[in-house]
Amino acid sequence: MPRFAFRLPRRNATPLPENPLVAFAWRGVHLRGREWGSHLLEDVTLDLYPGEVHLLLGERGAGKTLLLELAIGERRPDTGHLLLSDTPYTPRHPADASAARLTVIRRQPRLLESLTVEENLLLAHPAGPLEGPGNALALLPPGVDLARQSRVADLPPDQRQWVAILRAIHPRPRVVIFEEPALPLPSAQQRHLLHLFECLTRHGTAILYSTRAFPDFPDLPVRRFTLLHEGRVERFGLMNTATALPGSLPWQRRLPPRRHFKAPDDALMRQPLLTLRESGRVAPARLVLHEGEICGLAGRAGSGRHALLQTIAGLRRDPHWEVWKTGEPVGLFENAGERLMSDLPILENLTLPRLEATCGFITNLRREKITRDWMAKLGLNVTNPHTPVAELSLRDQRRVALGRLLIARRRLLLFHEPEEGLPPAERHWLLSWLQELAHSGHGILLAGAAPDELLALCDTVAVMEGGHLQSVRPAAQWTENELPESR
Amino acid sequence: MRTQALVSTLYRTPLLRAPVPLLGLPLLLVAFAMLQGSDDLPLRTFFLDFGNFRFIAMQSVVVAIGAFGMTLVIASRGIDLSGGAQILFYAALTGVLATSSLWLGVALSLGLGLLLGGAIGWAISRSGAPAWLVTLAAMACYLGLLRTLQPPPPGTVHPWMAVYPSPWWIGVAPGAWLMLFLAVALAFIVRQSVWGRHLLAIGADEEGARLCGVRVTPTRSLVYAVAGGLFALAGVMQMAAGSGNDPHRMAWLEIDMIAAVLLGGTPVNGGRASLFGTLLGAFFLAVLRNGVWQAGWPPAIAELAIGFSILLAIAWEHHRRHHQYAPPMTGWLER
Repeated sequence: MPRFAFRLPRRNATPLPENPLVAFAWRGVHLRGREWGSHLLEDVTLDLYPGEVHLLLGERGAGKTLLLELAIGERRPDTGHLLLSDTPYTPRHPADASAARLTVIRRQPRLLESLTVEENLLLAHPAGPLEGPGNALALLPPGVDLARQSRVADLPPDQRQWVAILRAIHPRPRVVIFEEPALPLPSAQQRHLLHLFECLTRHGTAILYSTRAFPDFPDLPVRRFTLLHEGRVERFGLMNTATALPGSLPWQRRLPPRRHFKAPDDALMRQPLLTLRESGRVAPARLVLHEGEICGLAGRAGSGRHALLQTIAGLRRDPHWEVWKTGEPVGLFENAGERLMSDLPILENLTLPRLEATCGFITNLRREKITRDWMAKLGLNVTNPHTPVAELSLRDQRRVALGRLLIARRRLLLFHEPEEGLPPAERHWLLSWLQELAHSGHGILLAGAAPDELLALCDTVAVMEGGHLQSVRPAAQWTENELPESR
Repeated sequence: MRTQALVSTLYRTPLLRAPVPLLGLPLLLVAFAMLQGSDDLPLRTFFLDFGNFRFIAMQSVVVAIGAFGMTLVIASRGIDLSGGAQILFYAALTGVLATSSLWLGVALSLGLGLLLGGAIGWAISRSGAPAWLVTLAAMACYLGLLRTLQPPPPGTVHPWMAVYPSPWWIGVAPGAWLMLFLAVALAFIVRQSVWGRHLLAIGADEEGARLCGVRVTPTRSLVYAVAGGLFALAGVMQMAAGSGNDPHRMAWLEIDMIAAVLLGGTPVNGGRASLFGTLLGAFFLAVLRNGVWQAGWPPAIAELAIGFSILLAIAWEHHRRHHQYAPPMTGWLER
């Protein structure tokens, strides 16, 4: 009797070697960008040996995530190839990666929110034991009490991260790629990662630890590292050699000195643009933002900074916060160009906040002139204001979003991860623009910059943790190590 | 790379946003003109007769005017499922009131259309419920209201919708001219007015629009209000055409209006409104129904063809979305 069961095609028909030389490798990988002639990755070669922890260092936008996406088949290299256990490996779908026992822990893990912890784990590895010796939950650090039946959506960020980690290491993987695994974890639990790495490498699992800055724990059992910079391998080698790491990373640049806003003379009694306090807490921290000030908001992933900014902007209601603003509307800059209308031209996007109109009808000539002026001011790479935003590069899209914010002429500006995914020069441009804005009297609340940037740029820095405002201090009273790495 | 740029240029040509009626209309005309009709109705000569086109224009009026309203709603990333029920209700209402005063009936229908439409829009915006759900409830309400009315029996055709209009030189029925005027006026309003730009901004990204200072609830209420007014106008035209009050035709009015919008190149995801495309789409549907009817085929064929053309339009739109933008050219070309 014929069987009509639906079967996935088997990709790795030949069995993989038992003791491979290389557990996983990217060899000479090229990836073209959306822009003509630009490269996201250029000739990247990286070998992972069985049982090693490899450190992949690189700033934002260096291409770390691209390597991960290549490995799980979300992208395919334009040239170059991948190796899995010494054999060529061409994943077409994330299912291929999990079939090859290659798992990843992404910076923002996509858990199935409405399902329980148990269901999430079993979905990754249906046969995996959740009871008895060798079960996944036994790998949790001592302090963490993860109930199997609790819904993932109800968990705090550190426990969610543990679910993500367990989901990845539960199927006994050959290769695991950790992307900033320690960020959402409190420092007491971060050390437990070392224990996990030891368990994994003992069984021959290769680990790629991908991070922006060198992790806090110095005894990470790393033998080798690779440093990515703008899609190229900048340096690689053994950790114990005298390669200067991480003292002077190549992308760190100095910002110009701050020029401070001079309030008009009668402004002794000037009102703050924003006062923020948590309600229902004993001695809550208070955040006050005046004209011409920049306030940094530091915090780990999931510490509630984005929700706070949205609350201030009035996009969500949260009785948890007491917000006093001046009556005028607030400008919110959210990560990336998703907030732009990508189908519509630059003209429409830039002028939407201020449509020059008489009697409700738009005056075209004036509108186009304003757009051209702003395009020149923002230094866009295109000159035609009728170009759809979808055709712009990420750099230009971000600049259009910034321009739209400025055209709206708001005094209080909230920025959420404005530099995410931008190359260093562009980030530098953005930060110096923020300085200029503060100099001209805007009040700026900035969430999602690196600690060193926050300290260089801001007047005050506030730290958030678990949805609470922990402390607010002038920037001079913080040191870089006290601030949590954002995201 | 060059072919990619060419494809994207083609895709962004405004005319090509509505390829199905554009290509389909001449195809249909040729096909129906070549067909042999039934024995007593020689299609070959009759289909291409100007009188028949008058008839087709008259037939497309109701669907087209309603579809203009639907275009605005869909461009703001909504949907109004109650459109067909509204048209029937206002047709019946005008019919009832016309026994005392026609103009009173028209004025009352239009006013009520604007008012109730605005209420629907406000309810959608304030509740945050999906538009199809709220308008489905509204459809039930309109159908209930429809049953309370006792409209006069259909049959009398008002001069507004006469196939042979009274000064012969205006060519087609005054209703058809009204349809054309509405297309021009609404296209201008959507393109040039602040409200029109805000409507499209809401359709493209509601939160982004709100951040840019667009007042979403009033804007959206006005969109549904204008749509309600247009549905009421379509209802008046339906009454004038004397083919009012058959609840069984309701479903087809719904589908025809949405089909005309999609065929006309207004994307389901909003952010863009093509009113002339909608006009073209409505005309395409009318030609299709008319030709099938004249050929003596069962109307099921027309319905099947409409369904397939909607699918075709959706497929085209999907393909266009993914290929309309060339990779950005930076560097030496742009500087």
